[in-house]
Amino acid sequence: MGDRRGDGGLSQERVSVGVIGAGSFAQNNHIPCLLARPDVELAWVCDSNTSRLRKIKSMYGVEGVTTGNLEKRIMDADIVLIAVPYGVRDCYYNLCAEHDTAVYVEKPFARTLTEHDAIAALFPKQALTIGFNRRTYRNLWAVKTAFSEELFGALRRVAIRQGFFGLSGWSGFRSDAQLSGGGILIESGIHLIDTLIAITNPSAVNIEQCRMKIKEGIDYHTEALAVFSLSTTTIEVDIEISSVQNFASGIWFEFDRLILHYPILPDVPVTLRDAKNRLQGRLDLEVSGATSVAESLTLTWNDCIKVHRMASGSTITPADTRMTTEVLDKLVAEASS
Amino acid sequence: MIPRIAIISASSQVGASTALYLRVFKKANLIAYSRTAYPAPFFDAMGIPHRILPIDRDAQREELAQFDLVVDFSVPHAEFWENKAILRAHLTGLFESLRPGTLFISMSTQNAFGFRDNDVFIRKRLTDWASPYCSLKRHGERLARRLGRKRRVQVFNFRLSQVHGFLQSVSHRFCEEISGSKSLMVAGLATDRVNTMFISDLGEAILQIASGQLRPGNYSVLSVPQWTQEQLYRYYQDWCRSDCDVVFIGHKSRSTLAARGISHLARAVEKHRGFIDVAILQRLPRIAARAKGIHRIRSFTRQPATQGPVVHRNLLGKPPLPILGDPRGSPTSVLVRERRMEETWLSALGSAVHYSPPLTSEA
Repeated sequence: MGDRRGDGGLSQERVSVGVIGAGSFAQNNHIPCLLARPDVELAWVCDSNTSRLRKIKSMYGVEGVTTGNLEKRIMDADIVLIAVPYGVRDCYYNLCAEHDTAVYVEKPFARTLTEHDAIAALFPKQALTIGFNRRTYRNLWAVKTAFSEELFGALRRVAIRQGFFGLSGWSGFRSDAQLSGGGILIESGIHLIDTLIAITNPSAVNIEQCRMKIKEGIDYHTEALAVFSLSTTTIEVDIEISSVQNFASGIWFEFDRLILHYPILPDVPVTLRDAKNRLQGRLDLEVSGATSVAESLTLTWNDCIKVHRMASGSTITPADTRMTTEVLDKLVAEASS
Repeated sequence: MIPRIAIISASSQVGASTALYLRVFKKANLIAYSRTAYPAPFFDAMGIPHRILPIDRDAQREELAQFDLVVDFSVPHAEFWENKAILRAHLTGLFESLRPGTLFISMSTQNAFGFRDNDVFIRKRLTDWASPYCSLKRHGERLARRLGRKRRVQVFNFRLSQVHGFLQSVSHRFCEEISGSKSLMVAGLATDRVNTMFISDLGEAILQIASGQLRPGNYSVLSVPQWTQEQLYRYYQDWCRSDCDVVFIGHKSRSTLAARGISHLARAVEKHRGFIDVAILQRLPRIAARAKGIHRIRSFTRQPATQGPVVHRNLLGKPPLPILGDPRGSPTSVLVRERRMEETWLSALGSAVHYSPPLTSEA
C-alpha cells in the first residue's frame, strides 16, 4: 500500500481498510471517520456507481475501485467495511471469509436466526464486527448502571417507541424488501431493541402479541408486546415502531421509584420523569461513552481495529447481537401467525 | 365544481399531508404521484389513488393531461452543488408534459426571501447568498416562471412558511418539547407574529388557485391572520394536553459579554458562509466536494459541544409578498381539523398508539 499521507513510514503500522458500498452513510460517516484516524489507511472504496466513486475521489482523495477487480483488493486489506444494502452482501461475505479478511458490517445484519448463524459461521469469533454502534452511547451505559445497581428500585416495565412519519422511498432502495431487508423495524427500530437487550441482557425474549402494517415484505408500523426474562424476574416490554405516524420516541424504563426516559439522540441526556412524563431531572452518572454519532463510530472502529491489531479486547460480534436478531425473527413470525 | 389535482412527490411530508387534507374534507379529486411504491400503503389506506409518475415523456403527458392543477412538491436532496442541475432536469421534463393552460404550483419556501439563520425577523435580500437552499429555491422559481411562459402554463410559486401539522416533523419536535418539559423559554414577545402555517392553510391556498381567483406569481403561504407566538404555543399545549409553562423572554439579549463576543464572531463567519457556498463553491463542484470532505473528516476529530438551556426561536415578522392561507384558520378551527385528520388516519392505519408518552398517566 502506498503512503498516501506521506507520513514517513507510519503506514506500515496502519491497518489497511477497504470500503464496499459508498452510499450516503458511508460517504458522510464511515469514510471521514476512517480518514480521521492515524492508525488506518483507507486504501480503497468500491461501488458499482462510478459517479459516486468520482465524488468520493473529489471529496476525500480516496481511490475508487469497481466490483470487477475487487477480489485482489480484498486480499490485500486487513478489514473490509461492508456498507452495501442488506440484500447484496452474500458474495462479499464469502470473498472476505475466503481471504481471511476481517469485516465490519453495517446493520441490518440478518432477518432470521438461521441467517444470522450462517453468516457468523463464516468468520472467526472476533473477525466480524456488527455496526450496532449505539452500544457505545454514554446514555446506554448510564441506564445500564442504573438498572444493574437498582438505583431507582427494580425495573417493572419498559416501552420502546419510535414514531417518525416519512414516506420517501429513497430512490427505490427502501421499497425493495429484497434489497433493504424489510421496513422501518430492521432499518432503524432494531437499534432501540438492541439497546434494550444490551442494557438488560435477557436470557430469553418471547413475543406475546404483534401486529404489523406490512406490504410486500416492508413493515411500516408495528405494535407488539414482548416479555423479557431477566435474571430474577420477567418484564413486559411494549414495542411501537412506525414510519407512518409521529409519536413520542425513545425507551421508557419504569422503575419502582420513577420513570427514566432514554432518548434516541446521543447528545440528549437521559431524564427522570414523573407519572405525567414531566421532567424531574437528568441522570448524571460517571460513565464514559459516546455522546454523538461520530464518536460512537470512532469507538466502534477502535474496538474493531484493536481486536485486529492486538488480538485482544472485544468488538460487537454476532454472538453479542444474536438475541436482537431473535427478537426481530420472532416479531415477524408472530405478526404472520 | 371539484377540481382535479395532481400531487407530484406526494411522498414528501407536506405533499402527503396536503393530499390527506384534500381527501378528508372532500375538497378535490386527486391523484398522488411518487417515484417509488414505498408510500402506497399510506394512500391506499386513505383511499387516495396513488401512481408512480411515468418516466417516459409521452406517458407522462398523457397522465397529466387530465388535471386542472398540478402541484409539485419535489425537492432535490443531493449535494448543494448538484441540486440545481437535478431541479432543472426535473422541471424541464415536467413542463414538457403539461398541456397549455394547466395551472401549476411550485412549492418554494420562505428561505427564498434571503433571510439568514440568525435573523430574528423575516428579511428580504436581493442576493442569493443567504444559503444554497435559498439560491436553489429562487432558481426553481425563476425556472418555473420561464418554462411556464414558454409552455403557456400558469405558474404560482408558493413560499411556504414553517409547516405544522400532526404528520410534520416540526410539530413532532414541538410536541416532544412541550409534553416533556415543565417550562419552556421562547425568544421574543407573546404578541410577536410568527411565520408558521398549518396544512389547512396550504390546502385552502391550493384551492384558491384551482378556482382561478388569482393571478400567476409568487405568494407567501401562512396562517391567516398570522398567529402570534402565544397562539402557537397555546395550540401545542392544547394539542398535547400539556401544562408546560411557556415563558416569552423578549428580545433583549441576556448573554454575557464573552458569550456575545463569541456569538458576534460566529455571526461574522456565518455571514459569509452563504456567499462562499452560493457564489463560489456552487460553481466549483470539485472544490465544493473537497471542502465538504475536509469538513466531514474534521467533524470526527472535534469534541461534541455541551448543551446549554434550550431557547425556542421562531421566525417573526410579516413576509413581503401577498399572503395566502385559510381565512377561517383560527387556532380553534385548526385544532378541530387536525384532530379529525389524525383520527381518520389512525383509524385507517388501525393504530392504537397515541402521541403521549407511554407508562404515564397521560398515555
